[in-house]
Amino acid sequence: MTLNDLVPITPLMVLSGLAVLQMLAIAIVRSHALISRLTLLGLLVTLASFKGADFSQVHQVTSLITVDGLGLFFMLLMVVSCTLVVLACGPYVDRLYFRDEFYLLLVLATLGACILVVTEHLVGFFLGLEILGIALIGLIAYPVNNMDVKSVDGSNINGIAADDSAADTGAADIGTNAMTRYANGSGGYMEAALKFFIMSATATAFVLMGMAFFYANTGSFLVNEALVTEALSPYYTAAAICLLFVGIGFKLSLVPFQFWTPDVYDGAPMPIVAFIASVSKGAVLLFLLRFFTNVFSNPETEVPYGLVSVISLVAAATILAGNFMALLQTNIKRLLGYSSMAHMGYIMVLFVALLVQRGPGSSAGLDLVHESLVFYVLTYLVTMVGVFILLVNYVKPESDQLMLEQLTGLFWRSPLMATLLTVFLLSLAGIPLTAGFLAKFYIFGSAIDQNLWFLIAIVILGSGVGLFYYMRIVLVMTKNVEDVQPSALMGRELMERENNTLGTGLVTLAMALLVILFGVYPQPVIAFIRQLV
Amino acid sequence: MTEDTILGSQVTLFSTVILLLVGGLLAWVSESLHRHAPKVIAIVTQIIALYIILGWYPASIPIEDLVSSSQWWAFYQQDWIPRFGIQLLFAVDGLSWLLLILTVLLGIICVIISWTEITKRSGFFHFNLLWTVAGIIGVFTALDLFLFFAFWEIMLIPMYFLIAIWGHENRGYAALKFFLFTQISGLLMLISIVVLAILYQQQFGVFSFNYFDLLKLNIPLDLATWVCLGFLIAFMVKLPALPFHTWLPDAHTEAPTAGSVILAAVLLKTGAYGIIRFVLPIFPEVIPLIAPTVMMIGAVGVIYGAILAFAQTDLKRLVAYTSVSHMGFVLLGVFALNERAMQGAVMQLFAHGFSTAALFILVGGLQERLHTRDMRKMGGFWQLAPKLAVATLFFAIASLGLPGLGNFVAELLVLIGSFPVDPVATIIASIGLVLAAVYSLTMAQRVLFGDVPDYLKSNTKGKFFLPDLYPREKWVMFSMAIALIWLGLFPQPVFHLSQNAVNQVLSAATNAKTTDIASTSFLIQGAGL
Repeated sequence: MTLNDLVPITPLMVLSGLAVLQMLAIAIVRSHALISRLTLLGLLVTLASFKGADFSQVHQVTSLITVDGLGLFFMLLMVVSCTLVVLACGPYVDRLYFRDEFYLLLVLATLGACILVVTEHLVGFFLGLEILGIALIGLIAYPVNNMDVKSVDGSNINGIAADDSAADTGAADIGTNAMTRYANGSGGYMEAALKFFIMSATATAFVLMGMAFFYANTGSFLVNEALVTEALSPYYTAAAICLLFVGIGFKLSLVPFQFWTPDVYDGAPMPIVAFIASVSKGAVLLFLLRFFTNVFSNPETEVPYGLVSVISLVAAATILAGNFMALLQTNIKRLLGYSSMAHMGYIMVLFVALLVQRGPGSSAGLDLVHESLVFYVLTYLVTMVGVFILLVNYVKPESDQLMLEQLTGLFWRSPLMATLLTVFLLSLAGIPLTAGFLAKFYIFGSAIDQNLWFLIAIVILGSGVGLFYYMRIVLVMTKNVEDVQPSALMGRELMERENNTLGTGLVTLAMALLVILFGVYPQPVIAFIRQLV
Repeated sequence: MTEDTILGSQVTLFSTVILLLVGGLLAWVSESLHRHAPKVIAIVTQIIALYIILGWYPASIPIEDLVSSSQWWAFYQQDWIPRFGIQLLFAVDGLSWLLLILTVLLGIICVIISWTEITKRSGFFHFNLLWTVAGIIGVFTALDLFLFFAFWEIMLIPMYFLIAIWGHENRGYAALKFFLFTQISGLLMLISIVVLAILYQQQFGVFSFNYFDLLKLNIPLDLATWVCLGFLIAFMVKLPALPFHTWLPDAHTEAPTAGSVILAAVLLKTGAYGIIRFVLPIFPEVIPLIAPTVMMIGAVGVIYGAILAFAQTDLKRLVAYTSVSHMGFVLLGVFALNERAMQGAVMQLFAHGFSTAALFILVGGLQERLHTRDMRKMGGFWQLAPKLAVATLFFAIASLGLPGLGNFVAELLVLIGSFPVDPVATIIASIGLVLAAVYSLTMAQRVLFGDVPDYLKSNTKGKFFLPDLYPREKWVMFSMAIALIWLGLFPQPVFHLSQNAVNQVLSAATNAKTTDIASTSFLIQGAGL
């Protein structure tokens, strides 16, 4: 490995250096202003390091990392998402006592995601997956025992005492920390983090076993067509693919690995939900794309029919489960969790189209699937970050729940926010003039190209159901405030802006404008994506 | 595109839509300036749009010679998403020009009649109204199928808000039902559009959503049936035709008056326009197969709507069901595939537009005065409010198809035209004429004649009191009556204007191309995009 090899992975190195700097900063002095500015600066430097990057060539840096245009673009997306979350979460984090490690964990999670998108090696996959996962666990559980009571009830007592003995009593004295929230039965941070942790660990175990089968089959961890062409045994191949798919399916909240999704979306802090919904899903999607493209890159090899039908079934089940479960929700965060599950189902239709590509002209079809996936991930990222950052405006760590009734009359109370939220919801629903519509159009195009009529019917059914709950939110926002039943609110107040900063507002506005821009004038973006693919 | 245009007015097509969108935004923000500002802005914007639309008319050509000159009067073409061959393609011919005039005129009328009805958030109301009109104008002029679909969806969202925010008791349910029906059927249409584009790419090598390119497609019969069905279902939901009409009574009843007028008089016409413009010419092989069934659906719809209208006690719901009944004639006439029936269907679009709009305005006015739509609580208005009563009677009679008014011309032409093609359906539809008389006259009897209900006694003198038509309502009613009489006595100009379009559609629809494709295979070859 020469010095030249380090150039393509500059963003990764800058991120790692940033993490080290953050740790040093925490050790030297604890200051929210310092750490947030340092993080922002470091992320901007990372973004700047993309400037000289070569999007057209493929660089192999050790066998673990393969940097190509697509990988660079996705790394850019991950870092941008992290920047947006950092920009927007300031006041939210301010209400916590230990604030600094939040940014450290965010950067580490982004680093894990960046590794995931540039690797075609299973060990790289494992590294990225675990760094991302473990950092996320810490982030989800972050506000536990961490409330800064000074900001809650005006007294000057900090929630955490220096020595352990007082920690329990300190926790019991505070009426508004996570333990009390948990006692209210609304699902607390700890529950979400534990669910995520245990299920993530189980999924990782499956991934490891899959890696073992992979290695036994081909003698290497490199993801390429050797898995099918030079396989030791087709059963090992099937086992490897299935077990690895378990881990990937967990991260992507596909049926039947999706049980963590609503609880974690509900229980995690709002900025982290933005992060999970965008970064972790996007990174794993790209790895899955690389996996299938490389393994089945030889047009001679037959894709096992069982694989196609299994993934079709998974896609259909995910779409239906996600949409129908969201119908019943009045908790906005859970609703968005199920909706993101449904969107993952739509993306899996793309993967079915990918696997079915065979025969003459299939390279053009492959390009279409790649293009569709990149465009869909881009719009999905923008929309999800936008929605959750908008909602960050309205929650505090002490009451991170959001029920549908709290949105009543938002059009009349804060028209701008309601309009932006409507834009995001319309994009999720797939209404024209938004990016989400074009993304759905891409899916229809790819699916029709491969004659996946059953899946198209399921997508239509799912979209129809999805319209219902998205428009219901819009409907509630248009109601009059006086018409709200007090009992429906269950003791909560209507949403009022809590974290009123420039950061959250700007990010939300920018994302909404991007959504409309991609919907109305997508040609530059499409041209750029076609270059990458 | 090699056809000549008569006018070189290239830019104004797209900018008319933009004008209305911007006008809507202005109306929204101007509410804080003055409470009447949104209404004024809405009217001014639409008058400008009307002026621009009138300007597209080729004044240099006498009206009888229009049919021998170029079909398309104004044209605008620009690349939008070249990767898929999607363009911003707008064009106006006689048929769409007439529909545009109808749309903008009714848009102006909507603002006038909601002058006192909409008091809360009138800025947002007029924003939604103008954006709906903009979407509808886009639908009538877009000739790129992707663009058409985009406008199809765009006209839904503001309409949804109009019903959901300013509607009556059950507005949330009605708005959602309307939205879901139209949206899901729209998704089916989207699939069909994408299939057409892919087929074009397979046969001609390039991607295109262009109407003129897709007309040249040669589609294998099996696939064509399904694709045609996708389009047809979307347009039948909008029309509305019988199995898919259930959204209409709720949406029309719960919408505010302006919403009902736009819904009934304009939105329903988009469904008919879609069938005439897209379904008939693009799928000539399929039309003979499905025409008998669809004509029967239309005929049954006439009877069904009429019977249900007769059974209503809610006045607005009655008028809503009459829309179902009248649109059955359109379906019957369009699928008869001859010139007479299709011209009748086109005339029905305009005649029904005016008569139904007027009826909804009157019903809305009654609801504003009485705060009820229940006919059991009405009666004897002839003595109380003579002008209102005369207007109601006039438009009720127009609705039943009295000779001399536009509806008669339309329905007669449809029946004459479709009798040679399908006598049974025509006979069934003509029974609908009798039923139309039944429900119209019954409605007039219950509302206008008989005893005045007690609660209308005013306190002071012990006499009954009902405010008569206000001046602005009077003028609106008068102008719509004139329009109907004009259409009834001098319908020929309308036929001259739409002749070109009708000829084009009929020649494309009856000219089934001989398919060279031997395979009736169901599958599209996956050749990538």
